Amino acid sequence: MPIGETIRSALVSVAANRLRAFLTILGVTIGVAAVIGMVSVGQGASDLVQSSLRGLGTNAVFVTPGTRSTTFLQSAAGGTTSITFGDLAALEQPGAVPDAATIVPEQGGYAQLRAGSETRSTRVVGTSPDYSAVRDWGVEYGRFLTSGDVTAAAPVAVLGGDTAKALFGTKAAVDRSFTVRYVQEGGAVTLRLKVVGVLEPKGNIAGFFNRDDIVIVPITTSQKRIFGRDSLSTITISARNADATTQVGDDATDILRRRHRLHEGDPNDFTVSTQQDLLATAALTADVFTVLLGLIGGVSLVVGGIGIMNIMLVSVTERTREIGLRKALGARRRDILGQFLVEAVVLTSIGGALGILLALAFAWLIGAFSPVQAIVTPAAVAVAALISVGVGLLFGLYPARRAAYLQPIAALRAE
Amino acid sequence: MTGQGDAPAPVVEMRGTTKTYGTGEAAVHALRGIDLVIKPGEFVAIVGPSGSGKSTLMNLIGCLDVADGGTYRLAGTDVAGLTDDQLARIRNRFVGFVFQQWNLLARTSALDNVALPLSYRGDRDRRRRAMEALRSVGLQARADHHPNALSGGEQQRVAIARALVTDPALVLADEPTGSLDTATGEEVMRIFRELNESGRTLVIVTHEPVVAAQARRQIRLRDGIIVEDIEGDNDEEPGLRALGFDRAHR
Repeated sequence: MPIGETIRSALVSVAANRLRAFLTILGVTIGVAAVIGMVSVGQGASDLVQSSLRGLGTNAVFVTPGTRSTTFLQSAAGGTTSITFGDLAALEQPGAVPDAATIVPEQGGYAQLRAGSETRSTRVVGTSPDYSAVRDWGVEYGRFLTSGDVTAAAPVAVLGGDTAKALFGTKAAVDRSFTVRYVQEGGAVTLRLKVVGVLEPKGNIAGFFNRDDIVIVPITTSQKRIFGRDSLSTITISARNADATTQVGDDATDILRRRHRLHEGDPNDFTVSTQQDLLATAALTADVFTVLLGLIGGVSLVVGGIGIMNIMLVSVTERTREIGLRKALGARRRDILGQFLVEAVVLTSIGGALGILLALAFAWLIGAFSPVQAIVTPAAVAVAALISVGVGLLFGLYPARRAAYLQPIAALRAE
Repeated sequence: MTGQGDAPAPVVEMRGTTKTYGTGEAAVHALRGIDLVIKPGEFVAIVGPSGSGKSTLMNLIGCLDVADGGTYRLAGTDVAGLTDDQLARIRNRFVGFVFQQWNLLARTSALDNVALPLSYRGDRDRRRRAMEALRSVGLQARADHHPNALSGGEQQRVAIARALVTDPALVLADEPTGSLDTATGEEVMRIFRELNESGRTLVIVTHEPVVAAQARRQIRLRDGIIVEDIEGDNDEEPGLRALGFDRAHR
């Protein structure tokens, strides 16, 4: 039977049961939309993370407490205190890290802010004036920290845009005051800070972490007057050029190992990572994320495929007489097999096409209402189209074989 | 009929054909040894009570099923041991089927229904040939109609056109008037008679004596064997005129 006629008769048969076909197709549509949508969001999130990391500057080397595998959990729990002001001073010694252009310490923690009746729990970061340059993050109003602020451990703060808005509303925040209250085992510390500047908006990372909710204070102020501790959360060393990052990392590692009295063979109790390391890690994380999301979508595709198989089995049963007639008139097994396979593929292809449209709409919505741009790549669409044809072939095969192997007399006699 | 001269190779040639359904004590011997030769141009009615094996015989003649024993040659081809697909090819080439419930595809035009057997042999000229076949049953004007827009008689004529479109060696009709009223049934039988008069070989399976009476040869089955094989004109059949069948066409 010519393929054109087979496709036409499949369309006729699908059109004859419009509602049933639509409901069946829906499973595949949702599956395809889920696969494309999920992969696109994963891709978009990965791109956003990568671009945020690139914004940190390719010359940056980060020194953080803890080993790489434990960093996140231990630092989140405050369990490691392996990087201190002493380490910072050692790195800052002239000639200690010859290729370092700037060294920026950071010390962070969450604290209660209060201005008038407004209160808020926000991340407070103590750092040096070079932070602004190293992070490529300038002020929108007022000024950033100065070396004078650091020397004096001045009670001043630069606020993230969202923090300023939350504390002072639409009114200008610069020159206004608020209190910061930090509670720890030894007791609570309260300090009144004056706003000297408001940062440019940065947006959030992957929709999870709002970078514009932050209070930046002089490192000395945070060390002596707020957190009262000697540990640092990050030391960012900016190398003179991108090629020097490895040397900078090695120098910093040597100095810290000596200071921490680590013996040959002992693992580092800190982590030195370059911009490239972070990008590679982020890329790997994003890939895993994308694959996982794609698999979730894939599960719904399988469910959709089972729906197709079910309805094709019903169709074969309903049309037993038709199959018998076609066989009596000379249809071979492969004619019948082809007819029902084409019908299943027509169903899943329509489902796939609708799913692609749904995914595009979904991607547009995500892009319009969240910072993540869901990126629907042509490759994802092509793969989804292939998958929907594949689902039709895979789940249509069994019903089609059942039809193809029917005996003509048995089929003709069916009611 | 018998005096029409030397016939070439028979269309149907069965020798000692048997067919059994089931095994052991549950076995049903549907056919117990059939010897049957049908020559080109014959018009044969197969009759018998239900359970006599006439449907089984029809299925075997039409290659819808295969015999257990004996030999069967259809248009000179031995069908023993053929695969399902080879049998499909044989049916497509040699047999035109007309079923009781006419079995047209719904949602498919009369023309496409008629062209269906040709599409299974990849005939590119099938629409023109289908149109010719429709014309031969007087339905060319209805070519675009779907079956549900046709009367019962028209549907059966479409089915006949479909059986003729492949120019088969044998037209095999299973109770072709069984679902029609008397007048329409008569119309359909008139077409069959005309087909036979133009040389077509016909086999009709029926349980209606008036239908069987119009064939030139009647084969009566009982309990899986042929009990009667009568050839000759049936003009003297008493029931026909009484039922109003028009004899003028003969």
